Amino acid sequence: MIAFLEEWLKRRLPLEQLDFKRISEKSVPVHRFSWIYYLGGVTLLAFAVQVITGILLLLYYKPTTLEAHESIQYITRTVPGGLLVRNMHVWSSNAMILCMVLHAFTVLLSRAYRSPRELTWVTGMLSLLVVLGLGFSGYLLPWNNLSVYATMVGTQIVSMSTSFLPGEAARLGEWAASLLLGGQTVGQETLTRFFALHIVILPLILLALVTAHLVLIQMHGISVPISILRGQGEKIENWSGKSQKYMPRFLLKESAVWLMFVAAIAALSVVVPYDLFVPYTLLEPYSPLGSAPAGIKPEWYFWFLFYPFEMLPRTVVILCSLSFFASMLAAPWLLSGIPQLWKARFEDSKFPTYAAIAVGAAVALLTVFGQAIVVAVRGGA
Amino acid sequence: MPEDLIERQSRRSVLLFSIAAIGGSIGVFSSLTAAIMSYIGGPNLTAALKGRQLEESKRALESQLELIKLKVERVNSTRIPLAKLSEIEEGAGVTFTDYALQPAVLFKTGERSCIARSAVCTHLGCTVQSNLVDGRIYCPCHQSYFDLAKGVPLSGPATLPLAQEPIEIDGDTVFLVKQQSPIKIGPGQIPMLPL
Repeated sequence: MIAFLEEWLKRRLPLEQLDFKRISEKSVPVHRFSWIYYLGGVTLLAFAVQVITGILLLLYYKPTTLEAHESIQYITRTVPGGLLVRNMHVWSSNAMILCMVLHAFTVLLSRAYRSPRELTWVTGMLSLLVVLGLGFSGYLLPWNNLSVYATMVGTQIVSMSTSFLPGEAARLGEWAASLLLGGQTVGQETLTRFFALHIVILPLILLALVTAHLVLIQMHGISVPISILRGQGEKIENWSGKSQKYMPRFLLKESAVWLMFVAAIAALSVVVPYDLFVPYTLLEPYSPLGSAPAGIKPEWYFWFLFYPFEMLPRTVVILCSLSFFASMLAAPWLLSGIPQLWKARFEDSKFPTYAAIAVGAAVALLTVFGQAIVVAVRGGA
Repeated sequence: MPEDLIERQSRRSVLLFSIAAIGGSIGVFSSLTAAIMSYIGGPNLTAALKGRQLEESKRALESQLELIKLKVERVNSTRIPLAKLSEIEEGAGVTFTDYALQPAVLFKTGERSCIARSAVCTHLGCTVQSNLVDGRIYCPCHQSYFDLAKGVPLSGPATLPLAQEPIEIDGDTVFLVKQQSPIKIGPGQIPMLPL
């Protein structure tokens, strides 16, 4: 048993491969899907932009219910360059999540998660969850109607997330919600806690996960899509086609992509401030005595969860989301194991591709056409 | 890896890439650095700007004071005047904060009759709107509709009714009345007022 575990770990964590002198010898396969190799790098760059602009925002932001909203107004309207810095933070966070999701999707399609790279997939998925947490905690900080009500709904969902469990375990969600809220209400304690989560706790966890992710990539080398390998005809374990040196060729191309990314984000921030997309009433400072204005929504990357809440009983949505996240984490084992049920070889089976397309299509459909689906299902309201 | 399989780059392509990358980098990063330096330096506050900032702080403190007054009133009094009956319009509710410091809303239902309901949506805790939509109470967060008279959900994802708040009409004034037993908060509802 121990020998088996040792072998399993050794194959997945080949620490002896970790020789940083070899970065100069590192090569990137060249084929018609080579462009997917840029998505992870762009995500990493967006994270760097988040850290830098986040630190800059800390110079003026005040995390109190009395001053938070005003301090954001001060940053964007009074501090020179403030509009740029704040909007770069917002735009780049959106770009980061988009790139991360696309990255995950291309990894699913190209089956890059396959043995021995399962842990790379798991660290990536955990990073995605942490980034969603960063998006959720950051949403509260401007302390406007939109952010406070969205947080109320979000923490309410956390509070009910374990209500289907038997006995005392059912209260686990309530406990987690009160831990997030720092009390019974969305108030100063919540703002303080979300602030701490957003600027210290989650970024540190993300940094650790991303480091592990990069070290794993360094150890295993870059994966080639299974369809391309199949095209080689012979053994599909190793890539026998063209490669390019990471240094300097791929790095140069990657820098060009990075440069375009930074330029695009900066231009967007100045020309199209993110707040333009949000109705004014939602951006007014939160007042505990007012009613929720129309149009309260989470950020677009939560819409695939938000719309089902309008259509289905909440316990069903919560159960489905929990099993969705669990199966995404376990995807490498599920996708390689399930074809064996009908004695198909993972490499030849079409199942992993269809499953990836089905999941991607469902999430994309709910995100883009969620509103229309709600109206169709409920017959308008 | 066999030598013939490593893609070789021509000197010209490396040179062109390098020039474009270096030129672009200088352009993007010098303008970004200039913006960031002036950001760190902060604004030159004119008297007008400073005045506006102080006004904002004053407004924020005043609203905080209002909130504290409201809490004191709820602790000390057994009934609180909510509105003049003659001034409430049908269909347009009056929002107020109940004894549990939860948002609630008062609607006129007839010449001398009113009904008050908790404004905390039983679905996921948003505050319902104070204006009726086609005679129904509406929560904008997940599109739940409630019956005004009975409080029961009519459509949308909510399954529990909106609680009724105890009120009495004395002359032309509608009062919120303190209940003897503490108001029970239903499952899945988070009290909303920051304490």
